[in-house]
Amino acid sequence: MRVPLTHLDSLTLRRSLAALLTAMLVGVATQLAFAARAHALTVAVIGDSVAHDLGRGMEDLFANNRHVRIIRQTKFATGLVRTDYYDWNAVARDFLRHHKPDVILVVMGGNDRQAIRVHGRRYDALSKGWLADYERRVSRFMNTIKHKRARVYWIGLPPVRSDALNYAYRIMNRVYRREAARHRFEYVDVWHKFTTRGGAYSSFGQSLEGVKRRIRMEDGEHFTQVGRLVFAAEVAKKIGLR
Amino acid sequence: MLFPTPEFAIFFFAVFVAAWALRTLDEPRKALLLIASYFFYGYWDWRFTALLAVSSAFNYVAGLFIAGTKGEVTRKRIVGVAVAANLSLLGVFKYYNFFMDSLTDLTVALGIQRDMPFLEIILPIGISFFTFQGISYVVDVYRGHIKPVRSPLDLFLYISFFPQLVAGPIVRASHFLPQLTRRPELTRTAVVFGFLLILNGMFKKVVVAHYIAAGLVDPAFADPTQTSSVDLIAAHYAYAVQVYCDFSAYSDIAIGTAALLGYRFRKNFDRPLGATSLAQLWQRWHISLSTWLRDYLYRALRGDKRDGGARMYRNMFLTMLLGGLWHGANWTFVLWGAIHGLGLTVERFIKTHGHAWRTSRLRLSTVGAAAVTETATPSAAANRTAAIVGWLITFHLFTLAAVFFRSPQLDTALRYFAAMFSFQGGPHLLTPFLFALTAGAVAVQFLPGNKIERFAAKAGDWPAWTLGLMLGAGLLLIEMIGPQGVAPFIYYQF
Repeated sequence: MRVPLTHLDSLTLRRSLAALLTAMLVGVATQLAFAARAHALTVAVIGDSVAHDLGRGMEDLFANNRHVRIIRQTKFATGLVRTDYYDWNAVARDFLRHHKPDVILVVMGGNDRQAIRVHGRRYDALSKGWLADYERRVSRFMNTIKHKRARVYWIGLPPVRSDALNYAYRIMNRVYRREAARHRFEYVDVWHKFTTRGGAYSSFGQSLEGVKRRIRMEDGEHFTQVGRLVFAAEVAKKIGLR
Repeated sequence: MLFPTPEFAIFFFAVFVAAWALRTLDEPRKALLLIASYFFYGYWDWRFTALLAVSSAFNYVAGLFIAGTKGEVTRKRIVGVAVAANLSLLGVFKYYNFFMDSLTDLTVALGIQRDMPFLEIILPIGISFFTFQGISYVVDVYRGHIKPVRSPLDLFLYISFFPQLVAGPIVRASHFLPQLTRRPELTRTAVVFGFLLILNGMFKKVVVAHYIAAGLVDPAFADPTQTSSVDLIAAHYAYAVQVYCDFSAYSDIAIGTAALLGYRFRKNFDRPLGATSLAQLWQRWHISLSTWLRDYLYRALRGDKRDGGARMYRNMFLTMLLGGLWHGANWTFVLWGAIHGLGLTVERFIKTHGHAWRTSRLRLSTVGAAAVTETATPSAAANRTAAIVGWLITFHLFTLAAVFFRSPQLDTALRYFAAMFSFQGGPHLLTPFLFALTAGAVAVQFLPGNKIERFAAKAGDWPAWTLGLMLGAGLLLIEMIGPQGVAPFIYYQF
């Protein structure tokens, strides 16, 4: 027998339908939000204190961009020479396995101009034996971070105030470039972004607003807050993120 | 050339032997010490030895001019020019780019940005110290506290004497120059005193400061956003200990090496972390700077008038603000100085008005004399409570302000505080060893002072071989227990 709906029943039904519709809308919106988040490009920045500066710069640069997510694994005063102090191969392996980034940016080597000890033998920095062993270490680290679904960019060391360090960094950058090509990584050269027209190191440079600012710290190695942004923008431009 | 390195040990040994070989020949001995000092300075960057020489020559001439001028107005003008010239040197090398950068910030904010003429210059090591010594010399000559030095050798040596050249203590001309006119003596007590101070300094720098810095402070400040609150809280305490151990170590080694060469420098630190008020803290922390600021800046701000009221508070605040800026061309140092300035003025205000309030209560008291005496003398328990509360406030103000002092940029300090007060995460960097090291370094601040002087007086009679063994074994032990490598002293950058 068909029972006619009373006014009260009809009101309850309409309310129920409205609640259901609202719930569906919330559900769809949540799904869309998750989907958007899932499609955000995860960019991992790995390396020493210079990588820390780059990572912080990238975070600031993409702070309002929901399509790019920056994650960092950086450690001051580390590198590929003193594996007894900090084993980058183990750390990077765990970090990448856990986060599965789409893009990996590496800056490493700022602290590596020091003697290497292998099986009781000591190789002075930049000597023939040192270069051969350092190349092996770089290659091993590149094998560790190589991943099918991630694009890897090895960022060359930027110039610093010390001439002695710059001499070493130029040689080390050649090693990174060569090994990056061998491992099918892309090498990103940032050297000339931080030099004067004459090729000398400068503590000052154009900010993102186009004004001359201090971009390097007093130590002649690290970047100021403005400099980090300049560094990040340069890398982002070269890898096609901006 | 860093103190705790083999290079310095070899250098100092050579200077020590040569200086005492020339002990009867005053001028050649001073010339040797001058050459050694310029070698020590030039070892870092020889180009700046010219700057040091020009600064010394200028102050030498200025001193002679001031003393040779009769009219008060002219004397005042000469000393004004001399002080301005010294400050200009500091201004160009230390503050010019900071000023340009801050000006750029302002023009960007106003939307009228322009490229400023920045200078690609390096901060010469020790410039803040030798400039302040130059100022103290010309002002002391002007005030009649000392006579001008006739021998350029004496003045050049006073400004550049290597134990204190790059990181203090800021030696006063009135204290050091008279020592150059006397023949130095190497007493057994002075040797033991020097050895003990060097050992003490080496232990504080190589062991305590280094472990704390490498294990806790540096990683925490490198990236506060990725450090737990517990570690950040621990690191901010640890940094206060690190900076104390680092800087007082430099002063100890400087005073110790000077003593071994036959010269006395005054104490630069006296258990400052145990201070129960900010005023007391600044009487015990970097004493040579705080007394310099009092005598040459605060006094200059005060002028001839008797200080009191708002003017006194303003001068006190300005002195600390500029004292903060002296440490470095960065807004973090300005804020650090402002915090201490504000703290000192508030403390002074409370003390002054608290005293006035207590006095008025006594006057109004209608009870008998015995009762007044009872009210006027606080009990031992009340004194102890006041000291504990005072210490807690002073210590925490010092450690919290030190976050600005340590942070390379203002945003690092702000991130540090945000992460520290988020109260998230457990200890990862903090280990029982680092905790014990930090707590132990604070605890020893409450032991009686002058331990080293008293021990040196006792051990002065010990045989030479015992003393040699003690120094050798001590240095070896420090080298063995300290971590690898030597970090530069914090105050080198100032």
